[in-house]
Amino acid sequence: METLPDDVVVEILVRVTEVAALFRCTATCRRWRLLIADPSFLRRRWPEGVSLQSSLLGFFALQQPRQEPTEGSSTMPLFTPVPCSPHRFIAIPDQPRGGQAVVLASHRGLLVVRFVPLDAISMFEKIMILAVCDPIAGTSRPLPPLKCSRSFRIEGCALLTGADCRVTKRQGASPSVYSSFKVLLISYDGRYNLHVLASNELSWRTSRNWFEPVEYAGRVVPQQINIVVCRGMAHWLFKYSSDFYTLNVCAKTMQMSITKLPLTRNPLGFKFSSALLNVTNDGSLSLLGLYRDCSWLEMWTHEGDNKSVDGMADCWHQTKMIELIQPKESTVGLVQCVCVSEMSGKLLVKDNQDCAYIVDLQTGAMETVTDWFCGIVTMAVPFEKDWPTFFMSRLAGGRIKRNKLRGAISKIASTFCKPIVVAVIFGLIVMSLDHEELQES
Amino acid sequence: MATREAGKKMIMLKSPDGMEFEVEEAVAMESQTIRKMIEDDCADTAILIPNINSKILSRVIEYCNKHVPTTGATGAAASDTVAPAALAEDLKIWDAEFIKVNRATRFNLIQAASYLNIKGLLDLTSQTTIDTISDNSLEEIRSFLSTKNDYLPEEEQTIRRENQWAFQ
Repeated sequence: METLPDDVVVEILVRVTEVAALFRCTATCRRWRLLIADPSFLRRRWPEGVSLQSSLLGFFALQQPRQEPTEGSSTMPLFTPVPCSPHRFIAIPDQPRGGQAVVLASHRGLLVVRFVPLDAISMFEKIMILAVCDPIAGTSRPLPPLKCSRSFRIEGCALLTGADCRVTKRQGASPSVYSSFKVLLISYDGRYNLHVLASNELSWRTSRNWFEPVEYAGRVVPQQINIVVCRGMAHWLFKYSSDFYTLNVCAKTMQMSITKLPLTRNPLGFKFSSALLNVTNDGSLSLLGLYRDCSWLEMWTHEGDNKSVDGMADCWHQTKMIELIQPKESTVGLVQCVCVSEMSGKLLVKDNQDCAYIVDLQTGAMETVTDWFCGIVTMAVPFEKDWPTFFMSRLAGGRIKRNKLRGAISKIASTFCKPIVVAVIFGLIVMSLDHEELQES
Repeated sequence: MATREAGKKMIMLKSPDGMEFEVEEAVAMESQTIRKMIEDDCADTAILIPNINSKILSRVIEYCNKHVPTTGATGAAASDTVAPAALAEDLKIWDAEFIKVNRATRFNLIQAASYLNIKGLLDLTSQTTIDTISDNSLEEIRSFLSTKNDYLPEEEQTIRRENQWAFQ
C-alpha cells in the first residue's frame, strides 16, 4: 500500500488527544517523529494563549491522615495525579533513604525539593538539605545545604530559569534546564531573611531581616509558598493586618521592594479573605481573590511594565469577576485557596470540612476532588508540563542523531583502521557527545 | 460546464480517470477548495479534481450531498417534519454507516477531504483512524497505518526506556 502524504498524516496526528498516544506515535518511524517535532505542528496541537488544560499533571501535596493512623505505615504518596495525567506515579529522584521529600516550588517541569528526615517533627531546622530536580527525566542536582545559626523554616520559594531572568514575555524554556537557574528562598527565624543561589555559585547569598520597617516582622501572614515569577520579577504574597502586600525581587539585580496592593471593595461590599498570585496566559501578573462563602472569585491584573521594582503599586485593575458554580452533589463550606496552576488555569481550593475542589478559572465551574487525595491536604504545589517545549526538546535532534553518528564513525574506523584516524575521530565523538549531553540534560 | 437545471446552478466535476459528475453548486461548495474556485470565477468549465479517482470522488459527493444545509422544495419539507436534534442524530448514524469502509478507502477519503478542504469529512475520517490508534501498541499502529519502522532496534529501545511514561 502506498504511504500517506505528510499533510494527511498531520491531519490524523493533530487529532490524537491523548498526549501519551501522540508521543508513542513518534516512535513509529522517523518521518512521523519529524512531523510531530515540527514547531508548526506543535503550535497547531497546542495553540498559544489558550489555557492548556492537559499541562496539569497533578499536585505534590502534604497531607494529614483522615483517621488516626492504625498500625503499619502511614506515609502518604507525595504525588497525586489528575485523572487525565499520563503520569500516574512521579517519584523524586535521588531521595535519601529513610527521609521524605517536601516540594517547595514547581516551575517549567522542575522542582525545588527539601529532604526531611522521617523523625523530624517540626518544620524548623538549622540546616536544610535541598535539591533541584526534573522528576520526569529522573535527574536531580543537589544544592549546597542552607545553614543558619538559629532554627528557621521556609516560607517562600521560587525557581527561576534562564528564560525568567529576561524581562520579556513568557517563552519556551531553554532545553538545557540545569545550565542556568536561580533559587530564591524566604526563611523565617523570628525575622524574615532572603536567600539566593545561582546555578554557578557554590554558596547561598543571604540578606537577613530585610523587612523595613521592622514592625512587619512576626505579624506577617504568608499566603503562598511558591513565589510567582513574571517578566523577570519574583513576587511573594503576604497579608499584614487585613491588607495584601507583595514582595518584589528583580531576578537579575535582586533589588527588592514591598507593595501594598491597592485593592478596593467591590460595590456589593465584599472583600475576599484568601488570595493567590498567578501569571495569566498572556504573561501578566494577576491576583485571584476568593470569597469565603465560595460565591465569587475576583481577578486583579497588574498592567505595569515591571521595568523596576518601584512603581509596582500602580496599575492594579480588577479585570474579572468569576461567579463560582458549586458542585451539585455537595454543600461547600467556608473556603480558602490552596494553590493555582500556572498554565492550565486551575485553582485548588479547600473548605472547612476538609473537602478539596478544583475551580476552572475560565468558567468558574467547581469539581469535588476530595477523593483524588488520600488525606487532608495541608499544602500543595501543582506540577505542570509544558508539552510543546517537552516534545520539541525530546524529539528535535538529540539521541537518534548521536546513535547514527556513532554507527557511521565505527564504520569509518573499521574501514581505515588507522590508529591516528580512530584517535582523532574518537576525540570528535567525545566532544560532540559532551556537547549534546549538555544540550539535552 | 456550469448548467442550469430546475433553477439550480450545477457544477461539473471531473476525476483524472475521465468520469464526470454533475453536482449542485451548493453541494460542491461544501468543499472550501471548490468554493474558492467558484468565488474566483475559475469554474465556468468542468473542474478537474486531481489525484482523486472516480470511486472516491463519488463517495465524497455522496457525503457532501448528505451534509449540505437543506434548502429548496425537498429540503424544506424534510426540515418541517423532522426536528433538528433528530436530524443531527440521523446524520450521525448515516456518518457511522458511511465510514464503514476498508482502510485504503478511508485513507483515500482523508486525502481527498484534505485536498478539497471539507472539514466535516476530514474530522470524520481522521477521528475514526485516531480511535484505532489511541488504544493500540506501536506495532499495531504501524501495521494499521502501514508505516515502516525505520528505527534501529537499539534506537527504539532507547526511546522506550527514556519515555516509559508514554509506553506504560
